[in-house]
Parts: sequence; structure tokens; C-alpha cells
Amino acid sequence: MGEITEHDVVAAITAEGGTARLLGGRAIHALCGEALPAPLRRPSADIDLVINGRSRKALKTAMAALSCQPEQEFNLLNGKERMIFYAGDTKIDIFIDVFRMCHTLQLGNRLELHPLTLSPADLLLTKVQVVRAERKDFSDAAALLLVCGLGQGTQGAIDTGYLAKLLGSDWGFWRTATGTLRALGERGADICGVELTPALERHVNELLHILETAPKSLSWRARAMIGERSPWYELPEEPDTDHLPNHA
Amino acid sequence: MTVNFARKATGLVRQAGAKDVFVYNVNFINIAIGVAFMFLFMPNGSYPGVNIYISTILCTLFVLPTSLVYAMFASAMPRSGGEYVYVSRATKPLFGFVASWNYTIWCFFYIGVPAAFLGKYGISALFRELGVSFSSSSMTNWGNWFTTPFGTALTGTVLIIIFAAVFIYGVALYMRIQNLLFVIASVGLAITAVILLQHTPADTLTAFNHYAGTFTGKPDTYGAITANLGKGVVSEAPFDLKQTLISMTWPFTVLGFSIASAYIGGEIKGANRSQMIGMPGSLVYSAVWLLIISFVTLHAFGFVFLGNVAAVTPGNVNLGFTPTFSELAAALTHNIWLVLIIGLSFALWTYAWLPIYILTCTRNLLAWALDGLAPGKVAEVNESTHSPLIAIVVSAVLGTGFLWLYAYDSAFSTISGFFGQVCGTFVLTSIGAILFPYTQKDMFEASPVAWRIAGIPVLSIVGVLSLIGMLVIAWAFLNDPQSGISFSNPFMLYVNLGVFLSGFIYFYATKFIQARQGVDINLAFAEIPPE
Repeated sequence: MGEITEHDVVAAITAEGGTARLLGGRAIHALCGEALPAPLRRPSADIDLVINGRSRKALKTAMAALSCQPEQEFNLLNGKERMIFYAGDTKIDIFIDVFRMCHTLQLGNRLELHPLTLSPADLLLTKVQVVRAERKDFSDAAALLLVCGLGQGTQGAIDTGYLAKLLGSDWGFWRTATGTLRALGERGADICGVELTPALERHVNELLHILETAPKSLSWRARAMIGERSPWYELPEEPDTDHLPNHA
Repeated sequence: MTVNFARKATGLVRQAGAKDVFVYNVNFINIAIGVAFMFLFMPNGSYPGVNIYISTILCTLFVLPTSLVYAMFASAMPRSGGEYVYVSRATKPLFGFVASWNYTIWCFFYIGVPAAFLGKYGISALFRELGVSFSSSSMTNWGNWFTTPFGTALTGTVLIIIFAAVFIYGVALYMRIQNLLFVIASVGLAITAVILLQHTPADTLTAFNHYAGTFTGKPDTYGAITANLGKGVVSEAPFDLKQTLISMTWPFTVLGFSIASAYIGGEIKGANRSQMIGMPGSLVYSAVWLLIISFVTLHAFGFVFLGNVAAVTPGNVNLGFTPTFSELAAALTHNIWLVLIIGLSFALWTYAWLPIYILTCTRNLLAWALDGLAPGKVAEVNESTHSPLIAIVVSAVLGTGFLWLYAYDSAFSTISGFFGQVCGTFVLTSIGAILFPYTQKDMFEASPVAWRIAGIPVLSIVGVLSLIGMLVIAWAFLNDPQSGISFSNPFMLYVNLGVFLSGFIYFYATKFIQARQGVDINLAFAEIPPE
């Protein structure tokens, strides 16, 4: 059997009656396809997926069928929301219902919006929630904005109504997302090249305007009064475990 | 294929932060139970010339290096399983397993002990305090019921079930509950200290007689106590260093265990900072509290009074059970709300060891199972609860068994298991710390604790100090007439030895069984291969 692809994994889980959607770099490639501008193409080693809680059994069966090896200790300690498997050297990173990084996204009920990946709006949120965004995060966010564009509803574009509502109820997430978008706007030429920069800046500014002017909840306003005096995000750890003992 | 923990992970928000770790370790030290033990056992005449403050300070100094050893190991190897991971990599898998086995078997036992404490020391005292406040003899009798073997065991069983259920739901829930209860318990302890500080022996004797007289039926209960003790009445003796050193066993029962977070190392955010603050930080914090509460208790009641109350057999003077410092403080106030806060907050301290022992046992079982040293079923995630249900249930069931044993067999009502943990586990871990920078050079150099003084690894230096400290503590246990460990009555010494040696038998038996099935468990202990 050749190298397992993200399509194989999603198909295997679906065949077992589960629901799985891609996120991360491979999702951007799958969603944008040939429309993805050359400067924004990047290799993606891992397969990142979201499943809903009802698909656990399907996941387990599918992983066994694909001869994927579980990361036992990680899955034991974190299996409620997160699991890791390996297909050869390829890591399959699975989020269950929840995407918990710098900020938390509830995704269990949003998997049906797109047949293969998360919706463009949710994909964008997974990128702009990063407090210390790296080039790949900016690149993926730029790709989504340039290829999918902004719109209302769920017809292939980034649903600004959903973003405005979600971020309008969570000041911390709003603060990080708008900060990351501003940084993206400033780095446009570096990220996607001079030619695409005006379009990117237009999308970024439009989205920022929407997020700035959207109605805000009472809890958003209350948290905004505290502002940056109190931490508003988590910092996920990127465990440098190469020097550590094996435990599996 | 063997895969490695969280390699190439895109990031993970771990469940416990620095604050959680600090509270976790302070709870495992258990300030209130520490003071209660110290005043129940140290001034009762067993250690003539003892100085409680010096004993506490010396104990802190002797156990601090061990706390640092665990904290540095936890920084270098942020994995769950404590010394099982550390010692197996620093020396040989056999010693890592034996150190862990020894600690874990006693942990199973000590799941039961704090479960018993809730009824025995916590609820019993609360009911008696309220019984006196409300002039209700039935409430006082209820308090006495909680100290009976059945009352103690039943209450503890319910508590074990509750915490097992919490852990089945998840560690994050436990941390939230822990932090909330810790605040209440700490506020109550501070209030207790303030009340004690406002009194001196000039008025506390009258208050005690008034309080105790309501259920002993003796208006001069303290007089009855001294009369009952006769020649055994406690008196103050000149300072004696040897007796003070031997009595360190009592502060050690709490201060020796600032290391709880080592066993959940894989679930802690920012392991380096969290563990370095959480272990030695919690030790120093708790030691200061022990000194403060000891001071205000002695200030209020005096050494001789506390010694006589601790020395008398409670049934001889209708006391039912010996009052702790907390109940004595409650006797000094007529404010029902203060009585309630003092009693409730003390009750919240009594069982604080219990959930941590359950989690420790669970994580150690998982670590063994992942390396093939326990049945694989133990490390399976339950489909319904999405948690390691079997490991949690095994811990809870064994803990409940030990609870009933402890409740009904006085031979186990000792602190002798701590001796086993010192000799069989902490000593091995100290040796592991000395060797680690030399046997695992690459791992040590890549760790955040690759510090040196004059070219010598700090971990090795601290390991030597830890070894010395643990040997001194072991000496104290062997000489302490109340530790349950002695050569003249060696039953618990044999039990300790048996627990330790059984680890070797288990390891070799498992290795043999696995080898017959074609599994080489040594492979599980290999280093991560280079990418």
C-alpha cells in the first residue's frame, strides 16, 4: 500500500459511518485546489482532522483498517478531545468536537458545512487564533481570503456573519484574531507577493471593519474592560520531546 | 511500530497550569493534617525535650533536596509516572519499576487512609463542635459514630467513589474543584490561626473545660485528664536535639510529599516553570504555614496542655476521640459561623491526599501498562467515558480495600508506609539523580536543568543531598517509638521489606511471561531514535 493521503483517511472514517473533516495545510490545498496562488503553496507533513464525538468508534476502526498506530500515552491522557495516530512517518492529528489551541473552537456541529474540509470561516479561525503566528499561518489565512473571499452564509465564501457573531461574544478571541489579521495585512507583500497584496489588503481591511463594527455581547464588553492586563489566550506547547525517553 | 509521545505535535494545551500544580502539591502536603498530627503525637511525652519549630525546620531542610530532585527530573522528563520514568532511564528499568512499584503499593494503601481521615478527624469533629454549639447530644454522638471503624470506612468509601467519578470525567474538572476547595480550606485555616492568636493559656483552659464538659460530663475535664495520666503527665523538658530529630517523622508525614505533581508530569503546562515552582515552592509555603499554626496553637494552649490532651486515652475521660488543634480553636468561640467555618475547612483538609493518591496510582498503572509491565487492558480508553476507566477503577477498588483494612486493623494505623517510600523509592530516585547526568548525557544536556556548579551537574549535587536527607529521615523512623517501625517489633518492617522485594519478583515474572510471548520489554525503555 502506498502513502496514505488525507482523502484515504476521511474516506475510511466515512465508510465506517463517521464524520471527519480536514483542517490545517492539507485542508487549504484541498479547498483551494488549482486556484491556490503559487506563493501560498506549501508542503504539509501532517494530516489534521476534526471528527465529532459520535465518530470515535468509526475512527478507531478506520485507523486499524489503515494500519495506523496510535500514540498510546497521548491518546490515554488527552483522548477526550484529541488523538494522534501515525501512518508510517505521517502523523494524523485528530481533534474531537473541539479545537483547543490559543483559543477554543466548538466544531462538533459544524462538520456538515463542507464535504471534505471545515468551512472556510472555521479554517480561517484556526489560523487567526494563533497568538504567535508563523509564516505558514499567515500563508494559509491569505490563501483562504484570496481564494474563498468574504461573503454571507455558507456558499463557499468565508461567512463573515458567523465570524462577527462568534468573535463578538469572546473578547479574547476577537483580540487575537484582529491582531493576527492586522499583522497579515502588514506582511502582505512578504507573504503573497506584490501582485496579490492589494487584494489581500482589501479583504483584510473589510474583514477587520466587519469585526470592529459588529455587535458585541455583554460578556465581550465586560472582558474588554479588563483588556490586556489579564492573559486572554492559552499558549499551546510545542513539545520538543526528541531528548525524552520513549514511553510506548 | 513504536511511536513517540507528542512528537511533531502541532501544539497541545495541557490540563494543569502552574497554579494548579502548586495547589495540588500543597494539598498533597496537607498543612492542617500536618499540624494535627504534630500536636497529636509530638508533645505527648514520647519525645522529651522536643522542639516543634526546630523539628519542622530541620525536616524541611532534609526533604528540600528530594523535592528539588523530583522537580528537576520532572523538568527534564515531563512525562507521567514519576520515578518510574526517571529512575528507569537514569539507571536500569528494573530499579525504576521497583521504585515505582514500592511507592504505588503504598499509595494504594494511602488512598484508604485519608478516606478514613474524613470521618475520623473531619466530620467527627465538625459534628461534635456543632453538637456543643447547639447543645445537641445526638449531634455529638453522630460525631463519635464517624470515628467508629464502620463509620470511618463507610464515609471513606463514599468519598473514594465520588473522586473516582470525578477522574473518570477528567483531570481538568478535578483541578477546578481542588482550587475552589483549597481557597475555602485556606481561609478557614487562616481564621483558625487568628482565633488561636487571640488567646493564651490563661483563658483557654476555662474555655476547654466548658466545651469538653458538655460531652464528657466532667466540668474539669482537663483536671480529669491529668488525674488519669497520673505519673504519665507531660512536663516540659530541656531541649534535646536527638529527640527533636527523631520527632521529624511527624512533619515528614506531610512535608516529605511535595512531589505529587511528578506523577502527572505529562499533563502539566510549562513543565519546567510549573514543576520548579510547584514542588519546592509548595514545600516552603507549607512549612511556613506549619510553623505559623504551630506557633499560634502553642501560644493559645501551651505545650503541656497540648501534650496531656494528646497523651490521655480519650475513652478514659469520656472524650470519645482526641481533639485536634482545629477543634480546640473551635472551643474558643461561641460564634456559630466561626465554628462552622473552622470545622468545615478542617474537614476539607482531611481527605486532600485521597484524590491525589488515586491519580498517582492511575498514572503509574498507565505508565507500567504502556511499557508492558501491567496488562494492556489497564491502559485502554473506555469507549463510553473516554477515560482510562480500568486504571481508575482498579485504583479505587484497591484503595477501598485498604480503607477497610485500615479502619478495622490497628496494626495499619501507623505512618510506617512512609518509611518504605523513603527507603525504597526516594533513596533510589536520589541515586538516579546522581547518575542521570552521566548515564544519559544527551538527555541531560538537552534538558532545561543542565546546570553545573564547578563543572558538576547540579542534579547530581542535589541528588547527593537528597540521599543524605532521606537516610536521616529513615534513621528517625527507625528510632521513633511512634512510627510503627522498629527492630524490636519488626512486623511493619517486614511488611515494608516485602512490598519492596515483591517489585523485583513482579518485574522478573512479567519479563519472563512477556518474553514467552515474544515481547522484549527492554525495548520500551529505549531512547527515542534520532529522526
